[in-house]
Amino acid sequence: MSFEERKPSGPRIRRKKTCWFTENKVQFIDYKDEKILRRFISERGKIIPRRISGTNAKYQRMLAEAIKRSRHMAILPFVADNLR
Amino acid sequence: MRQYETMVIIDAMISDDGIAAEVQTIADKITAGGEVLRRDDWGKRKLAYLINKKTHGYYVIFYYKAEASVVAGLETAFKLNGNVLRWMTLVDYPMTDIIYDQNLGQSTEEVLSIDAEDGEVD
Repeated sequence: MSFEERKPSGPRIRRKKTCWFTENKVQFIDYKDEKILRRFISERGKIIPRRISGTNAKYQRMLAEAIKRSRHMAILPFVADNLR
Repeated sequence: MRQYETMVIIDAMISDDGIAAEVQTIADKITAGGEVLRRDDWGKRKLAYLINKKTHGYYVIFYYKAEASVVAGLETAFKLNGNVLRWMTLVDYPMTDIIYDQNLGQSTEEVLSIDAEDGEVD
């Protein structure tokens, strides 16, 4: 079974994810700051979950609000469908 | 009096004079019942998606102190004005206090390339 086929390299070592906002001691996430917000949306324009980005809960809430605001103002897309 | 910040997107397809006039009327409306603390002109930018079939918009942000009636007046004016594509007013927004040194809209050129910063995440 796939259980035995796994490489015997022991438990997977994952690099600890860190919150970008905590590291940079950000006070507030502004919806106008497109450069920062762009880092936290996928190619499709979706908000990247905190399980993947490692953002703290407090900042993730702030971030989601900021992203939604900038979507309203057409700074960020709701859906980026110009991929191909 | 409270602090507000209003971001307005004006249709960029109208003439430059037309845009200037629109911005001026907004500024006049604010100064009639308050004072403009700061004004950021992002200028013409590509919209992330079409609004009223328009691809580009002229962005202006006003940071101001005014009576609530001023804001109400502005919003009705926006609603009736076909050249205003979109607006958003925020009350006592933290960023209004921490007034920015850099004008965020300035980096328009770089920002336009949408996939520039992909792959940085993770």
